[in-house]
Amino acid sequence: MLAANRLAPALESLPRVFALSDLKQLLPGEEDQALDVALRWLEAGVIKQVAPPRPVFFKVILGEELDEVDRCRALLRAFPSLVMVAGSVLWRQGLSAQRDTLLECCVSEKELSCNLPGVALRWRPPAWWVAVRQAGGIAGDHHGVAMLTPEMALADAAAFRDVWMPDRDAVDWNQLSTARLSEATQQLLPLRDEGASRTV
Amino acid sequence: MASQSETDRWRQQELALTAVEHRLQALGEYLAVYRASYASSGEGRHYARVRMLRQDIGRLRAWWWYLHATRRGASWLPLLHRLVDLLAMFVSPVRRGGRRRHSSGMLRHLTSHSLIERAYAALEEDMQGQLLTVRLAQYQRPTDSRSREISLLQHQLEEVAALRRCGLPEPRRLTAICHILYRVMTVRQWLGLQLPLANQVDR
Repeated sequence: MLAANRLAPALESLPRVFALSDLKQLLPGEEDQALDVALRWLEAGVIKQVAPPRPVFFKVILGEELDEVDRCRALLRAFPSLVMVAGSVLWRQGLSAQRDTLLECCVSEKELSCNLPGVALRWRPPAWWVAVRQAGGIAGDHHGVAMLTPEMALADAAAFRDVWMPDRDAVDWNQLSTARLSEATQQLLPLRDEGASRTV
Repeated sequence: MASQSETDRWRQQELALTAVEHRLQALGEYLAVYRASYASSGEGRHYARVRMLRQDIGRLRAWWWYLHATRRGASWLPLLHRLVDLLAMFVSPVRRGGRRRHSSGMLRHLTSHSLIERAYAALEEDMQGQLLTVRLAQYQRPTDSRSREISLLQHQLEEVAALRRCGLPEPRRLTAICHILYRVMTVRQWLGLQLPLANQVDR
């Protein structure tokens, strides 16, 4: 009880999104205790793991949903190299008239469960990151989360077929470059089989 | 008894290799995204960051090579150790003025010791995250198999913590090993010879 009281202010002093290492810094020299405290908070439901088993958490506050900035921050802390894909990219870059219901991002980890509301994680093979870089397939970021170029987002959706895309009529095709789309498709072509075998 | 310590050593080497491979994979992916996102902006600090990440990856690969060679008892290890004994006294494990800081911002150059220690710490934290996930599930729906999984994870966690605390050589020796092997790898690359490769995404 004494220990619980002593640690009670710790949750308030942590940001909405935090990692186990942040908690350890609040309890220097008591790493095991940090683990116990995190478990107690998880059991009480006052925090959740962003993407189990990654050691990154967000505070659950009733009536206060995580906003887009916090969601992106949480995703970045759990997966520093994640990339936004598909219809999520097209909507945020103003190329789609239809909005995504789930923020879709790609990671190379096999474990894809995510406790963040409104977020879906998709798997891509490690070679995908090389292909994307070689094709110049990143166009800026959204609150720090790297976004594919629209052409690369289309090529990726066609190659892996595991993401949501808006209807054809809802996409502004005039803003897309055929040459870049062709290049992006070529880069992702060798990965298509790997993606297919994973989804089967 | 001897066989037990041999098994422990083998297990420790395996964990060390896993930690370095995970870190290489993570840094490689991060570098790929970072280069694609910012390197084309032409800003100096982005180039500096990319250079620094590549150096970190290079030193981690050198350490991976050393661990791998130790595990299979490579014939050149005694020679390397003699060289390290000679050079270690001239090596400063801490960069002048603590950590070197890039003039353009918050970029920090890690010492080889810190770099490797972080790789081990990252594996430890990943396992702690895993342990929390399983313990929470056990709290919600207890099962025997999960209980065994928790015991196993706790044991592995103790092993990784021990590896981080006492599995690293003295900082001067570690720095010397990383620098020598990094340079050997660079020369091998120039000569077009095959490089000892850990699993990684990009360079």
